[in-house]
Amino acid sequence: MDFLAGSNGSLLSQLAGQPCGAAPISCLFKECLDLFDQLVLCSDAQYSVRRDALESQAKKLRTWGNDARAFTWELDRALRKSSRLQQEVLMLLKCLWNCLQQS
Amino acid sequence: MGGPSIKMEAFTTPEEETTLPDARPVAEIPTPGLDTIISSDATDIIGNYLHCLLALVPALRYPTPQDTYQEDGLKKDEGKDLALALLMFEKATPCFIRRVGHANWKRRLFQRRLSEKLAQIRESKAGTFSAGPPSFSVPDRGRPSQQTTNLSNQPPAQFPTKKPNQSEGALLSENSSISGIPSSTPGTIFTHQSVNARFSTISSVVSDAKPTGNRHVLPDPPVPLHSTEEFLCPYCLQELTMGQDIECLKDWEYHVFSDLEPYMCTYDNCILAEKTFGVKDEWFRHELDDHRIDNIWFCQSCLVEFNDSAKLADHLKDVHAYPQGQELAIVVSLCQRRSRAPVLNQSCAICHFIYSNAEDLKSHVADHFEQLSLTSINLEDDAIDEADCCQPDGGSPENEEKKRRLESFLSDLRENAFAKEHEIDGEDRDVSTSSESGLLPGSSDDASFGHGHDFAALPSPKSGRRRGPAEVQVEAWHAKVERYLEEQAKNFYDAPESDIASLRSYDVMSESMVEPLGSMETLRSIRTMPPTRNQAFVGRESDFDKLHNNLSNHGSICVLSGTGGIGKSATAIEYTYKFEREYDYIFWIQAETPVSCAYSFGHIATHLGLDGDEVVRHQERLVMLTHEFLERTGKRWLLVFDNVDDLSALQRFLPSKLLETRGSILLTTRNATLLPQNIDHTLVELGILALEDCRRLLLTSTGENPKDMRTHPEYKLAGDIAIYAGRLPLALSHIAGYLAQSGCSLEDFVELWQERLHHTDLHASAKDSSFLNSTEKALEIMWNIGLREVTIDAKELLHILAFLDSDTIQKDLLVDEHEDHNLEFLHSSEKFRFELPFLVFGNLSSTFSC
Repeated sequence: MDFLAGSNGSLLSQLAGQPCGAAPISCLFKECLDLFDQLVLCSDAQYSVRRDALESQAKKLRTWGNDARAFTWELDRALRKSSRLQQEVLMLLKCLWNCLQQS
Repeated sequence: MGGPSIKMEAFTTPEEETTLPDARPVAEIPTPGLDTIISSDATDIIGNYLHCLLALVPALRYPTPQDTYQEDGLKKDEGKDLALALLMFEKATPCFIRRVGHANWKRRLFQRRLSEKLAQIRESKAGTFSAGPPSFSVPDRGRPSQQTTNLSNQPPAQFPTKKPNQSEGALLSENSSISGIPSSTPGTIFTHQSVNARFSTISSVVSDAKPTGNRHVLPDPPVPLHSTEEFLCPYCLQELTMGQDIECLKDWEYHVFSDLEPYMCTYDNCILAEKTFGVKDEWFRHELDDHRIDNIWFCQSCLVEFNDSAKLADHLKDVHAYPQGQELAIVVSLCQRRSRAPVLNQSCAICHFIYSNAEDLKSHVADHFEQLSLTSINLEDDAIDEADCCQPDGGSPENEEKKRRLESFLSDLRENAFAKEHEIDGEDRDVSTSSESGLLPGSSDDASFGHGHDFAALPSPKSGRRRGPAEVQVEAWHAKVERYLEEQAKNFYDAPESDIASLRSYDVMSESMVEPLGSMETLRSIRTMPPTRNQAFVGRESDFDKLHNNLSNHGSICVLSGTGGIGKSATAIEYTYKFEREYDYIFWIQAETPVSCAYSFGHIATHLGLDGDEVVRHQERLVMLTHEFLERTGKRWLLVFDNVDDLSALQRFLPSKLLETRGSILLTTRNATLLPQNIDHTLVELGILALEDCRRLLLTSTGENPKDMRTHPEYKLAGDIAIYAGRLPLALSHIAGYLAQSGCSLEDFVELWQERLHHTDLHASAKDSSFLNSTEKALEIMWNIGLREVTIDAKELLHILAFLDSDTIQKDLLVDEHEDHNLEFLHSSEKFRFELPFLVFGNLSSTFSC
């Protein structure tokens, strides 16, 4: 698999305007965070339970990003020699992105 | 979101829409509202993905380089890199050569990938170049900025080798004329380097090392150094701005080497032997901490050091009559620390050259690694063969011997690889085929995932309901993540026990520094809650004489007073160790509040077993039992009340018939008039440290222990610094700690101090010129200097620690599964990250109570 494009190339190509080439995980992670934020904003206030759940999950993702250093390109850099792990993280984020996108 | 219609077959990847059998047809229906769509199932699935991601955090923090690149169908041509490593590191062990050769092969392959990617970007940007000024420069790898607009594919550069009888200067001038870029920075790796001079004949950076012949040099930055252009780093494709990200050649050198990650542990049996480091200091810190600095075990009573825990155990049994048992093992483990002896006469694992100090060794070994790593960007694949042939004395017997050794080495490697391959085939065929194939749950072979794995720790799917494709996919991911973590754990536990022990020694150290309670109570005198002895304590001899003269009388009370930071607690602690043999019991009482006093008294009762077999939970009862013991015992005891602010809060803890007991009381307080005149006591007021003691403290902190300080070249400077710090022990101990940690010379420190003093004065004049007295100013300057060096997270941690009792901060109180964004850096998954701040600030926090 190509390290920079690979199987996720089609997805990354959707993320127009983002310099994803060197930091695909960071890029995808930020997309997911944005989607979470949009979901939280759009959620109906009367269903506060689900809104809380969403906010809680958004926090978890933010925590993960902080822990794994995905906010910057540091994680991409750290994983550049561990392509298997990198692919797995990318695919997990991709699935999450799909989930959020289709919501 | 909120669009007019949605797809009902949510939560499948685009690929699955056509392949999964149970994917429902796409139906366009009006959007029923967000909450219908964000169903609990969906949030569960999202939660499961997040769970998987969070489970991977430890692996992501320290990923093991394990890439084989095999799935690309690339020929595994690491033989060339192994050969190169063997030629460059002749005297290294075969295991070491295999490691660095393999790492270099991966490095070269990775750089090749980036090179291809860069070529694609260059092609896509070609139109931009012709249309107008580019948004950022896209450099040609390893070529100077003058050539960045040349987008044609150029043939690989030829690597000039030193011509026979050609002088070094001649070659350099020739190369300089080729590059057209003057090399003007003295003392760096760029000195006399040119872009096209891939091989040069510059002598070794480490002048006293054996010259190594041909050397590789670092390519110049793609854009001129003094410009403000943006460019893509050819070695990581990161977008950089000259003048901001890269300000000087040193920055560029640092950046490139952090991309190439040249450094590796030189110890073959290290658990991190395969890890590559991008930062020289990080790599060498690992070598020092894990391999080069010894652990020692020391007796806290007589300060004798042992290089073996068993010897300390024997010592405690023989000399201090300590009984054999589990407690002995605990005490021995708590008496472990790093040796403070300087690291001397260390040898280079690559060329066996011996260096007298660690700094020189670091530079020397780092240079070996850097040279090899530069081949990954300076030499193309075919050129490596040339490099093999470029060795001097082409047909000499020495070269023949090298070739023979190389062939033998490669042959052994091939045999080992063959054997390993067959072993894997025989035992783990199923596992290897599923894990190595790189199949992902979204692919058509998903059925191979999710069987035989325990999902107990994960949210279970709802029973009695047919699982949707998304749930199947999530479960498959669980399995995959579990398997990955299992493999990582297996690798970890397969490592030699000694390596794991060395990693775990951090835990032991941090525990003993953060929670020093109860670690030494079983030595000569019985102690409760004793603070750790400050090994760097100096001076106060006359004060000790006064204290001892008074406290040696039964029923005496001594008050040790002085301003904050003068060293009251430190002096009291030192006294308890210095005159330990005078007492049978030494009890340390945290006397800031009645609650802390009661806790300390309760601890005495529990520790001495005064409560018998009954479980006494009433603290008053424990306090009373302790009082009774102090009044009745026929043995000598010392009660130290530390940091007393209010006598009224203390009264109920003072033994009522002190004169009839065999005890003495020592109080430390800022208030010299704490005890009224009608209570018989002796006041010892502490002043600033003697200048000579200040000098000794500072000079010993730099790792030296001069017999005659006056002949020390930095003797005068030490005096100057002591005067700057107002001879205040707190400020001096911080300075000494900073000097010891940073390796900064006293001369550099004076310069640093003057700079911060100027800054503080400016700051003060902007506010109120009289807001700081000289002592406070000294402390502020010292804190500013120290705080500049710590990370943002460590600063945050300090802010929190400032609100806690500095003597008994419990790590478990801080570290948790925090979800608050502000506390994320204290999340339990950050464990390894904040061990260091705890270690560093363990020393600082002990001085807070002074």
